[in-house]
Amino acid sequence: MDLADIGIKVHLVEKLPSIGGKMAQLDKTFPTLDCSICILAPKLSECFRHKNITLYTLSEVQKVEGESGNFSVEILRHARYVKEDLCTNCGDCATICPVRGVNNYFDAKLMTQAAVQIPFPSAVPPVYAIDKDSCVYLNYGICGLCEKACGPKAIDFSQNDAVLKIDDIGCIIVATGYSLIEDIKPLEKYGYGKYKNVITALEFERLLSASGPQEGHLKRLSDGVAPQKIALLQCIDSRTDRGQKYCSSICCMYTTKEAMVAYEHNNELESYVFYIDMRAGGKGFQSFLQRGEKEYNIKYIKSKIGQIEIDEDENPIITYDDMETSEIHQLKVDIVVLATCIIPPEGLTKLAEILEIELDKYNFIKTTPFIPVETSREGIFTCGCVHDPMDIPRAVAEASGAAARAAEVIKGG
Amino acid sequence: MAVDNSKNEVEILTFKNLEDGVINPEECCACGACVAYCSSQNFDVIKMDGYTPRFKTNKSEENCKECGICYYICPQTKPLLRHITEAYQIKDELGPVLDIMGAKTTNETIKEIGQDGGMVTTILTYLFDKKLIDAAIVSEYDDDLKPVPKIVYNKEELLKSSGTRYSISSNILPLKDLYTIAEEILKKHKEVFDINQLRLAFVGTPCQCRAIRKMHQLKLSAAQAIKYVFGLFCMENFDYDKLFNLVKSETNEIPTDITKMNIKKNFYITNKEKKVYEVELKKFDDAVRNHCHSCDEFTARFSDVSFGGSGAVKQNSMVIVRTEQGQNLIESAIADGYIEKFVPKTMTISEWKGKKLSLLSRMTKSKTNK
Repeated sequence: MDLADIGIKVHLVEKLPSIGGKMAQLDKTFPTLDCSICILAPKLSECFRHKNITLYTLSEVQKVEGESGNFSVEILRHARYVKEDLCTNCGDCATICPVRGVNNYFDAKLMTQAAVQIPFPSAVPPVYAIDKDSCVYLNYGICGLCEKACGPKAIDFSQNDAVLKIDDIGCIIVATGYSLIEDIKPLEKYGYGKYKNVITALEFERLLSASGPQEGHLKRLSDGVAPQKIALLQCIDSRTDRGQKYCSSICCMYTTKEAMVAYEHNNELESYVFYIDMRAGGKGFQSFLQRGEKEYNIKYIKSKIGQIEIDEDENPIITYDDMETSEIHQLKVDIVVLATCIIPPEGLTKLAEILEIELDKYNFIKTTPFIPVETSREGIFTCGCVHDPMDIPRAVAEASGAAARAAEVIKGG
Repeated sequence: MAVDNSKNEVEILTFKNLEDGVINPEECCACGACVAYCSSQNFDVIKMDGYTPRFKTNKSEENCKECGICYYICPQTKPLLRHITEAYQIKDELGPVLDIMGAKTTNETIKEIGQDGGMVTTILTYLFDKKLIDAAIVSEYDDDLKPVPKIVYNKEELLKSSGTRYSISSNILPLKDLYTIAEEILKKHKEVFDINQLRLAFVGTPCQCRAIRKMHQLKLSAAQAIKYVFGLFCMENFDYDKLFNLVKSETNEIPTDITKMNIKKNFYITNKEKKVYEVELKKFDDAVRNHCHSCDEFTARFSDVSFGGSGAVKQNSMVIVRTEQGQNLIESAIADGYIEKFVPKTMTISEWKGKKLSLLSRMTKSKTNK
């Protein structure tokens, strides 16, 4: 948006059906506890309407030629099967669609949807998309109920994936974000996938959210009872020789944030944060943690987790080594939240090959500490978690930094 | 697998074709899948008229959305058969067999009232006890010994549905009220915010299991809740009225006086005074439903586990495990002492298995060659 505002044309390429990324999935942001989507949604729609920004959703960059100042980029646009200019976002198609059980990434797979779906209410563009793999018409040639139900005639089964070539691209900025360790493997030892009351932080975020599956009423997945005691486990698969060797950077802060938000749902709630080290380097972060302890009934336990079991009521029981006292303790809680580690986004290795940029030893984009927005190739910049795990304020600052560097190249500064 | 988008003018087969090709030629097996789907979509076009799906009114045909899904999920039509045959790895008349065993319940109450080894009731009880299902779709007798589909929400209700029924019950029909089922579960049991969270077990005949798998293939909302499919061995099924007319003429007993029926070599009918009649099976041939003559299934291949009496020693059921999920379930039910596995004494287990498989294979072939 910085670039578009100074008159530079921006082509924004997004793999998913909507822009917004992980931030749209969050309930609140630290350290201010602001509503995440309230900050983000106006920016998304401003971006959508901006005369200098062209949005390509369900799209991927598949080829890049040329050099800094004059790239030409090939974009693969996956078929949406819904005409973006005609869809009015009314949802009649999803209501009549006979298919259910299609995972919705937005709700961290806690919710499923019809084969024609919009990931979240304020998605941008505000347009439905048909899931090719589960649509009965596209796979079996029958049904077509959405096409018949659509008033503005926006459903278009004849769409195909298309390749679009854009010339005259001055610079490329890579900001594809991150993925989270959600694979069963590293989380298995914590009982994730086996015990219903052991969930990931992103799932917890969705459960807390008013737009989430439980409409903001925090309840356990096993029995629908409001929790009285929760445990938040940090450094899940990060800072370990057995998993990701680096620090995931945001977990210390967001676990406290989630505990605070949960406390606001229920003022009797006790939260226990199990940590190795507390890292609160950002502005206002240390006082945020102190507030958590004083005002939000959060207890911080420097510890190592041994194991998690459940009792007959599916309450998780954590066995841990208290590092202050060097004693083994057990704690029974209602919910365990796993602060899963940030990992490079899916498909980054392939994208790096296409862009001919180097990755670092953890497979994030390689950058240097003093010029964090520059990649190994001239004219290609980066910002945010795709090169290093970071919080939102830093990602925003970097984005402006990358935009400034790109503008320099384009305007010949 | 995707169709060629450019030619989307392929004619979709609809309920009209189902009437012409399946229902009117008496090939309909009365499973209720078509009506369950259509009603769950609130289309209000077709209904069960006794055991026959029909347009609701003369106007209904015009109101049909012509989506064709009822035609495709019908267990008696061809289009999706190839897909589910591939998906469930059906290669021969017996279907996939991960394991085959004789087994019986360890529960005394179920032993008393169940058929053979009381396995289906016990497995469902186990699923309820372990909180692995919220409800089960089974059939039970009404007062006139007429089988009716029933949704049970706890193991106590299950006992009423124990035992075999030999005339058809439209077991898929209850899925039309999936949202009512969800509300029921919501009220009594837990928090449900997504239809995919419901966990139902389904018990039915081979044709009914086939319909459920077709519905699963299309990921239809109506069948999303069904997480376990249990098949019943089925040689043939009887028309209720014809069956009891023949029972009356052979034994002079009326439905309300009969307590149990069982088919082994012959048809055994037990009345309230515990008197057992033995009637030759072929005397009931005229009551067999027409579609059963062209059926090529006996052991319910499209299930997680199938159960039946054929081949098992007295007081035991035959159990064929077909999917990994079924395997885990049966193994944990044995480990937790709910069921007891039969151990052959005069031969090795693998000899026993081979013998039973060839018996069931012969029985299936005898059915298809009839």
